[in-house]
Amino acid sequence: MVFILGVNFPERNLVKKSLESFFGIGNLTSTRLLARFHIHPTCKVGDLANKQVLDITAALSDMKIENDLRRQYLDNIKRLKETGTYRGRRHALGLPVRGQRTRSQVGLHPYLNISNYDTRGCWSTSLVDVVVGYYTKQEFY
Amino acid sequence: MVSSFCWSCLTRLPTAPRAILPPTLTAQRVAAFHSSTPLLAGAKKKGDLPVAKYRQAKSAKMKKKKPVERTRPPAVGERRALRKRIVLSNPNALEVEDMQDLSAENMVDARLRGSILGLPVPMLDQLRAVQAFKPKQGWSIFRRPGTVVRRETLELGRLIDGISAEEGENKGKVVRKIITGVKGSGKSVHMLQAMSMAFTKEWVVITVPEAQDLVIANTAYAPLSDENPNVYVQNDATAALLSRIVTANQKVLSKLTVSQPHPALKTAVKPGMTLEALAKPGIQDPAVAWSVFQALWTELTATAPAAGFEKGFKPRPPMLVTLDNLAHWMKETKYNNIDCKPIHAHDLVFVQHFLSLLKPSTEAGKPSLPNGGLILYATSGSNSPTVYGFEVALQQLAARQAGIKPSSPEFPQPDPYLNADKRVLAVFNDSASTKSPASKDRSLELQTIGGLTRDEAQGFMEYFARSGLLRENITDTWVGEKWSLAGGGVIGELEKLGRRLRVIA
Amino acid sequence: MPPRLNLFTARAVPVLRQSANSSAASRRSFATILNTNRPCAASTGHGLKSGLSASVRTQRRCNSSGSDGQDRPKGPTEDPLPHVSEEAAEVSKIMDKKCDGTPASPELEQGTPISEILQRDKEALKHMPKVMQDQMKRPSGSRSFSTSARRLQPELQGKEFDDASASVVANMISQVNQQATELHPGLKFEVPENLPKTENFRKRYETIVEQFTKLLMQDGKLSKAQNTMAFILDHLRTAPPPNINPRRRLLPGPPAPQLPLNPVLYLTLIVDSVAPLLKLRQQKGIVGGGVSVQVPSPLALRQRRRTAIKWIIDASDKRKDSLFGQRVANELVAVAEGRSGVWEKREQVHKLGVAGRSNLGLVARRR
Repeated sequence: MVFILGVNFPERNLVKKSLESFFGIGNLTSTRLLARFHIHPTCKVGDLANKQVLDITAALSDMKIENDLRRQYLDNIKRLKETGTYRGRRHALGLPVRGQRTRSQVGLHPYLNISNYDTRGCWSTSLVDVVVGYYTKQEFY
Repeated sequence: MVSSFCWSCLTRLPTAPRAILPPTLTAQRVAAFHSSTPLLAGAKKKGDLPVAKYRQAKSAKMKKKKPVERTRPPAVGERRALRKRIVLSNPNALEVEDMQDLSAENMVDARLRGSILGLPVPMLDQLRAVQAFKPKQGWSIFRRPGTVVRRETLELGRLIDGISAEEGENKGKVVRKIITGVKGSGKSVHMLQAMSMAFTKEWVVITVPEAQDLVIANTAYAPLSDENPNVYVQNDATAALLSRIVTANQKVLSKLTVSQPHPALKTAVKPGMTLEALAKPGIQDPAVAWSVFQALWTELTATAPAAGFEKGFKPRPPMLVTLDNLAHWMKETKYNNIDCKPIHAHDLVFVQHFLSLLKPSTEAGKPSLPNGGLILYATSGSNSPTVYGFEVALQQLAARQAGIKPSSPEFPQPDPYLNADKRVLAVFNDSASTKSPASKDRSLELQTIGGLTRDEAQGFMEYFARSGLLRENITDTWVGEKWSLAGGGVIGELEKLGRRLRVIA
Repeated sequence: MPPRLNLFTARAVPVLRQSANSSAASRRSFATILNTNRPCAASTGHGLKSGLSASVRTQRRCNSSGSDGQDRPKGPTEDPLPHVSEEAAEVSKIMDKKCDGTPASPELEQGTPISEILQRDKEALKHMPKVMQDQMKRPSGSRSFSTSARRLQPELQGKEFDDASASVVANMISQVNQQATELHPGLKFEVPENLPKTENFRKRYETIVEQFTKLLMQDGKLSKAQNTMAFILDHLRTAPPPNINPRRRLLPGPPAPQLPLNPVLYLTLIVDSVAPLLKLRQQKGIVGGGVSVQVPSPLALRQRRRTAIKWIIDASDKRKDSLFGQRVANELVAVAEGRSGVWEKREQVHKLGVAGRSNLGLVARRR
């Protein structure tokens, strides 16, 4: 088991996959990170040298990922709401924000535009959970 | 309407005769008037439909399929092992009685042309160590591995014999060849034959069994040093190379001793240490593998001992260097540099080293293989990337061999609009044009391997027949037919025809 | 087909002249003409001269002109029947002949050729036109090029060849032609004997291999199935020979240690040994009451094999090897050694079939 940014990863996992498990790191960012520290894309977590683990952790801690990023998302939405914009209103209503039609298929929007921060006092841990919540029809509001 | 029968009458209706009914049915049919009741009863047992409870919601959704019970997936590495497994013997096949083994005497014997020479059994471990066999070469259907002696093989045998001879014009010569040919024409087996001959002559054999493995970003890489950050070293791959060299050439390396100082190596290099012992630390610790390899290379190319290391110096044997699937080293790799741009294969120090052997001299002006040897780099017919620059370079090489001067208009030039890779062209230009310091050395050659001749094909098909795999009369007509079907004797196709057995019925 | 080059077939005398010269021909009946022509063709074409009747031979002899040698070698491509116009001339001569013997239509009117006049009249030879004299002096074959291949053939036809190599070539060609006609009428090379069925490229695999491959196929991926089949055959070839269970023997064939050397036969024996003889049909409405009874019905060879292969593939699903081909190959070996459950399946079907024999009577009665 190897700790990267406080998270424990099993040694058989790919480094690239493990990095992409952080909120805010996708294919592009992880590729760049690997290139920066000369790690080949099929490298397993167990094969990393100690220095490389430390380097990666240091690099990740400088980036805006996980809760910082989520907070930024919500702050942006909050700003839209407080300034009374149309987009903010749509967020609050849980309706599509970017001009999509609402005659049919608006189901996913309440889950995707995270507008329920105020009403619920908490937020779902990640976007994936939100979408899973939609498909499993969990009680969300 | 009222039935004219009463209930008791109905029960007394005569039953069907028991004799004509199967025993299972008679019990059911005793009092049956309507067929629906027994049918329903039967149906109910089968279906197990859940009975809906009172006021229970029913969804229109399909029921989820039950997860199918699957056996555990095979263990890690098992499938890979199955894929890469090399079976060299089929105990069911017949033994071919008068098959000779490859030896120093018969590798130059022109009378054996068209026959099959077996690989000596003790050598198989060495050949396995250098990964000379490939999984799909069809070794597994014969009693023991053997190869056809064809024209190219005899030429190769004479060459190797000449280079390692005590006396003669070819002694200590270096021959460099790029081997091309269509798919299945026997390029890899040609290199295998070269390896087996080199082992019989006690050469040092160094192989790269698959060039692709070094460029598809499957092994670790790192900048070589802080001074030159744009050159990359692959430590794991180098350690694997060292391990191949040591296991295959143990007999030779354990007799040779260290003759040069190696300041780059941290481990103390004592005089009198064998080369095997010198290489071992590189296998155990990949971090030092590259410097160990360089040390080993300087030892193998040494012509005279340095001061203080004179004791027990033996002249170094010639070297055979082989490489399969060269085209993969002529393009950008899957590795990324620090700016997330792909690294060119020629920036890998491993690749650089092996490509520099194509040139007759090193950068310092010394001959690259002073003790003589053979360098065989093959292309692949099946798994080969299209690299325009490489294609042009090979055409240029062929043109040079045909005597066309680079200044003449017939000399093939790259199309300026197709962006031929300059680095690729430069490698082959330098290797072909620079004069070698040792006048005996030949410059880079291109050897194209084609099909077998009919006589060789006949010998090959007879080998199938004598192994019991083919039940045919091997006549000239039959062989001629198969020879044509195999695209003019392409040996891979002949092998397919040979193992496709017909039962005349 | 080889080109029909025939150096001996050219006629010495042009066709039209042949009929015009022979005065006897004009008086013969129409039927005789046809008769004379046909046997000629037959005799030359097939070299069956001895088989001809004597009368035909005499007729032919009087028909042929003097310059036309009787044993002139004729190739197989000799025209069997005279040209249409020649025949028409004969017919018209007979049908609407005038009293004075002149032909009816002007195009059939023909005088004596100049060459014949010149042959018998030495005086005319001296006074003939210069063009003809030049032609006589010059050997006719010396032209650098020829516009007519037909015209050169009379020169080549003679037995005496100036050029030795030409005669050699002519001999060789005539020899080949004669051999061909003697051995196999119409064929240049020998007839292949015992040509295996699998030589046809559309049926290059054995029937059972093909059937097995198609049944291995999943999602229409034939190529993949062929790979699997190759793997299976290779496995049968390399696996140790089966220990035959004495209670469950394979069909009679070569002894077990020899089986791996012939994987196709091995496969055939395995499949045929477990192939059921019959299947059970569920037939409704025989006994009434809507219940179905099992009626055995016999299977053809291909159907039997299909059932067996299906059973083998189904049984292989329970194996744990990761490769599909490996699973099937192991199951096949298990069948050969009598360990497989497929044998029980077969016995079961046969037992039920025997039990259901009585139902066959029901079926027959309903009909």
